[in-house]
Amino acid sequence: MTRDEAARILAELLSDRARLWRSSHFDDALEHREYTMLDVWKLIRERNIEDAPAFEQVHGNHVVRLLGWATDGRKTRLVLGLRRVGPSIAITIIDIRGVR
Amino acid sequence: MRVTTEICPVCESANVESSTPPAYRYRGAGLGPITLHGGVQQLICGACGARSIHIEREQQLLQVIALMLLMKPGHLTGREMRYLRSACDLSQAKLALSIGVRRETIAERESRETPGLDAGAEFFLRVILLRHFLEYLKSDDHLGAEHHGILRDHCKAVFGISDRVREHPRKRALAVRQVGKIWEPELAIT
Repeated sequence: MTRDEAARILAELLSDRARLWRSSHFDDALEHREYTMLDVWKLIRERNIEDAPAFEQVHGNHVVRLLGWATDGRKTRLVLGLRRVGPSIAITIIDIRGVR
Repeated sequence: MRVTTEICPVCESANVESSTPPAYRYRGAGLGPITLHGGVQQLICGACGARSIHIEREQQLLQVIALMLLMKPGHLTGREMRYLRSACDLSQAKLALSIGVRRETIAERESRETPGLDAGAEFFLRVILLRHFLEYLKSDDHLGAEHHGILRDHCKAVFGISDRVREHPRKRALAVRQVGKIWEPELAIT
């Protein structure tokens, strides 16, 4: 998957033409790290793809890392598992202050 | 529960059970659980055991929550203040500038369960947040026509006095007329 393809899928998620799934684990991380879904959608909207999507053999999706600032100003990475056809999933959201 | 043609978003197995919970405790707003009636799909994977959820039109849901908070009776909590600011994509510094206070004051109020604003200060804060929310919607609007109807009515009520002030910026002489046994204002007050 190229960056452009990933950007197209992100646009589909934003326009509700594709569905974003998440696990209860993701919701736990969201709450524990004091983020909200406003942050998640903000990062998706900004579409700042960090590096080329990497195919993840085990889960059969392409891991895309989005970098940006959460609504409270924290530098944040959102990791998504995207599929050309099929469901995309939010994997994790991380505060990257101090993370190399 | 029913078995569908869905696949597990985690492992791609087709061995999933899909359901639409009649009531779902939504935690994505960071405001404590909000009960959603409908609009949620849940998948439980028989292969990897993952439980996944999808919220229909979640961006709209988040803006409807903001609308509800702007119209909420009673005081906002610190978390609700923070949510509203975030829903307008405002930093603490920008909100502080709009209100004319220090950024630290916003941070401190948002960290409290009860921010401790009196009714006048809270009204002022909500007017500022409402204006920012309207501005934000110009570039990222997920609300439907019915929500805009509610928002219009709310704006009319909130901005009524300030709009009248703006419409009549010049000093005008007041006139009052006696009609029967009562005094009636000549400037229409509606």
